[in-house]
Amino acid sequence: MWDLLILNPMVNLLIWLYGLLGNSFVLALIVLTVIIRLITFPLTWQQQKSAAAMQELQPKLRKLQEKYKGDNETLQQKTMELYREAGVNPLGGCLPSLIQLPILIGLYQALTQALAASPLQLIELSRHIYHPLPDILSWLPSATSLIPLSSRFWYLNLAAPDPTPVLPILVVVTTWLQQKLLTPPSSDPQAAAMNRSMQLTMPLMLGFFSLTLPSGLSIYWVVSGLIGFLQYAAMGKASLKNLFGTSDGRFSLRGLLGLPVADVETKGKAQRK
Amino acid sequence: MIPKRFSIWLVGLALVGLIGMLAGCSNTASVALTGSSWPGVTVSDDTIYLAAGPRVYAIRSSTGETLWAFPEQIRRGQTFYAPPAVSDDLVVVVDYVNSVFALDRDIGTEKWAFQGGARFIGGAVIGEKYVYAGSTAGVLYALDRETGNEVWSFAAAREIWATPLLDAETNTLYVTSLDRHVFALDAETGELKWQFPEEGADEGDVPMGAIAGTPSLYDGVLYFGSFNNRVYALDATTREVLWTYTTSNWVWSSPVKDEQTGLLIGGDLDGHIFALDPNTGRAVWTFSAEGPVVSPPAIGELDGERVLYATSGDTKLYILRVSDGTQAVAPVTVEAQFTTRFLFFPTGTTTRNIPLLAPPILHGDLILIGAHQGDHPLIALDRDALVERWAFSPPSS
Repeated sequence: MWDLLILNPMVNLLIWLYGLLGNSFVLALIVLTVIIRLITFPLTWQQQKSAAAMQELQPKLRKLQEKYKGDNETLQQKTMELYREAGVNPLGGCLPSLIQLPILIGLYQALTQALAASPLQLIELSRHIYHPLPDILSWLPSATSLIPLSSRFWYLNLAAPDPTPVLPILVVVTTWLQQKLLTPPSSDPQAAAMNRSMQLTMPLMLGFFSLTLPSGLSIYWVVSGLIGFLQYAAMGKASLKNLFGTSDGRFSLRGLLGLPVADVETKGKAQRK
Repeated sequence: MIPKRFSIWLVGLALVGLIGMLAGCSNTASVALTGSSWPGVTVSDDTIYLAAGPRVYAIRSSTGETLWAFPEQIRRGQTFYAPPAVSDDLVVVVDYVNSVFALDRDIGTEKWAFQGGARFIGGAVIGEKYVYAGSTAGVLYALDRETGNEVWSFAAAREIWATPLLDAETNTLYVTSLDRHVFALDAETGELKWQFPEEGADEGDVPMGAIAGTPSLYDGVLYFGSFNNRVYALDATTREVLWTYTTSNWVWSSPVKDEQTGLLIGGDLDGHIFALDPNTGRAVWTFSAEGPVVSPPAIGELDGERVLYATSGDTKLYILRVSDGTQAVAPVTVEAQFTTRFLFFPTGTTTRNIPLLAPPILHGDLILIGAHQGDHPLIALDRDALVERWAFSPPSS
């Protein structure tokens, strides 16, 4: 079922794009990432809306936590009431992520399958190829005449890790930059610490994986990060203020590193307004 | 309630878990990306030469006893898969890193080594003066048989995965490549005699696909399969396509000819085993296995009948009558032993049937099958009883 609904369509789409875009795997990867980002846009939008609404409720939630400290039952009841009154679903941010997760996993698998570089991999890939194509799709390039896809791009073999640290560094920087630009600084020290932790963990982990996984995946992470950033920028959610943690977007090294800056409180209030 | 500081770590751990899942959820893919194939087996006299994982072994066929192993100490990252080439005095093996090694046939010591620029998937072939091997960089090397020095090389546009075919009679080396070509080279000079398809040739409705297998040559006709779901019969002199046979999936290996009936027998990755009339390319019979048929079948006798032995990814060894493709006996499943582990520590063993991708090799009263899964990379079946006679356990380094 997984292969039928997720993996096979992605593998074939990737191969067709490769054929249509001059046998360039990197171009195919970029276009496929854009397509997936477009398809999942409603979910991303919903997730953003839900996250913003939850952020606005934070001060009220903190007040409730202080008021009902030690009385978990009442706290939960009041919290749910608050959500109901504000029309916020606390799972509203999780559900789109959960729906996107299989797509992300499918894309990862499609990448690794399509870049088959050994006999066992190629035999496995043959199970996922649509052939013969129905007449209505006969204008598409034939997968059998394209396989094996060329995994060469610049100095890279996309099926092997980057022998230089260039891509791992790019992965870390773009992932970190994307998260930093998207996450408004918080006036709550604990929330700020949590943000710092998340902003560091994800880029470092992806950077670590890109040291050992195929460089095609690293390129996907870089491209996906950049496209994600552009998408959020178009939605008005990315900001230099977030990057530097200042209210007017001016440069601050402390803010860049996620440490508190003098005008964060003002920024926090401005954000809430 | 969970303390907030603790929840930060929980979120971090969840992220690590998510990324780990992304990295590891497709276990087969991530394992496969390190690059792997099935063991290569060659038999000469009463010795089996096995390229499997980190070493190459010479094994006494009657007992499964190890005569020698190369290298003596396992080298980190080095693996061997291609079938060794054997001559009177040499065993030539290629590794999955970038090297060709010539070994003393009797004791397995290294005589010379050559480093190419990329990994080798197809095996080497030993000629009168040169050793030939093609790499995944698309380079076919001719190496001096005595010294291992490069004499000449030929560059295809893409990977060479198949062992070259040397026709000593015409001094021609046939090389197939994933660049969708068959090349005929002068074995002495490396000069290109011809290529198929020719540059700019009209390939018709179905363009040529990648070619992963070694072509077979019978009576001046080259037979090979392609990823465009075709088997080709190509006149090696006139380069005329005599016929093509269309299958429903990729044809990995070339068909083999049964000298008695003259039929060409091969398979495709949909599991079809077919017998073709060599003159017309028409199917005389077809048989459907339940998994991919990757390797060429072996042909022999069973109870006075001409039969073929074909391995399949559905874990079965099929034994069919050459005359009509009916099953001579029920398919045989090969059970492999696996060491179970907790973390890195062995806790016991378990057995299960494994996909069979390597070609079956008939040797005396044995059927030898390379196993790419399990603890034993080579399993010897009794040819009459069709049960396991012995399984090869690689000696520790």
